[in-house]
Amino acid sequence: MVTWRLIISEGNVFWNMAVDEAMLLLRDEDKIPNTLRLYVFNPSAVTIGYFQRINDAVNIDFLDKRNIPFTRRITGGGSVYHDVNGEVTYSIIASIRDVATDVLKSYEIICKGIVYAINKFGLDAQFVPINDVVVGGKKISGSAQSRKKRALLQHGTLMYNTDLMTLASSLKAPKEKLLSHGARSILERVTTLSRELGRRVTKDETIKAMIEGFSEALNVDFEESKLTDEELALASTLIEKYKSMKWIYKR
Amino acid sequence: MRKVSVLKKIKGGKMVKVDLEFDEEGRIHSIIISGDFFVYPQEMLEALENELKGCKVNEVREVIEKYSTKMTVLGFTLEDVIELIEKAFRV
Repeated sequence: MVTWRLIISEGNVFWNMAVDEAMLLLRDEDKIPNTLRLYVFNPSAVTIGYFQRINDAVNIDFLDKRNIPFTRRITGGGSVYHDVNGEVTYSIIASIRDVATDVLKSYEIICKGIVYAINKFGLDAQFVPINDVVVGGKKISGSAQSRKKRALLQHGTLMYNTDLMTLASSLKAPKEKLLSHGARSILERVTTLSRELGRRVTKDETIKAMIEGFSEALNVDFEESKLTDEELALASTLIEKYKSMKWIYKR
Repeated sequence: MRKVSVLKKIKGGKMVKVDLEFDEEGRIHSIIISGDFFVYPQEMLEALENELKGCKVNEVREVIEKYSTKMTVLGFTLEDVIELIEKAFRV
């Protein structure tokens, strides 16, 4: 079996987004190997999709009041609350031809890793195109992918014990969604591993299941390693963008 | 300057919003197409927005259809965007 690099880390939202972009750029230049990175946002934070308007996607007043940092991702998709005590994020950075040329197909292949990870807990899960994984019809994971010429970055979440009240207060459901789903829509539409299992699932269990799940989905082995000096240096320069008002309020 | 925002919930759960400003002659002065969707390559959406500036309602379809071969959109269609802009002109 082919071996991919595995990185397990923790950092603030700006650093995490800078590392993901640095890895995509360096993978595109063939300077790093295919990698699975599993990480936590510390402190808890919010990210929004590249094409979202910040004021439509998040409740800035609430985030400021609670000192929850936020930034814009380079990937499309929707807004996400990353709970330091309840969510593990994955990034797959790989050559496009090692996953799938077709975008929809590549979402499916990678999201299957999350489905298999959830299966390890004895739960059924379904991939719902384009980019969601659901348990019992409720969203438990969302993903987003960005592509360069040769490389792709797909990052996504797996909620094991996210505080769903804080999630609901942090993210703005667009008006039309509220009308069709009712005001408590977020709570009715999302869930966590702990909520589904009726016990407190830990971060370590979640990480272990994700490694096994992605190993099955991608048919690869993982070998744990560290970021290279080049990745660290590039991420250190990219971090300024993610902290800047110009980027965060771009749309 | 007249400002209009139009929104469409797409089947499957995604959302597309178009914020427009029209000048006195009814041409698009500014436009932002936003939402929780995906576009590949990503920079094409901004290129499309830029090209729509200065357009009148009858020119919108032709400009947008030109982009159907330049980019892949997931979670919405370019027809949704045409529909939203035409709706905004009528508001």
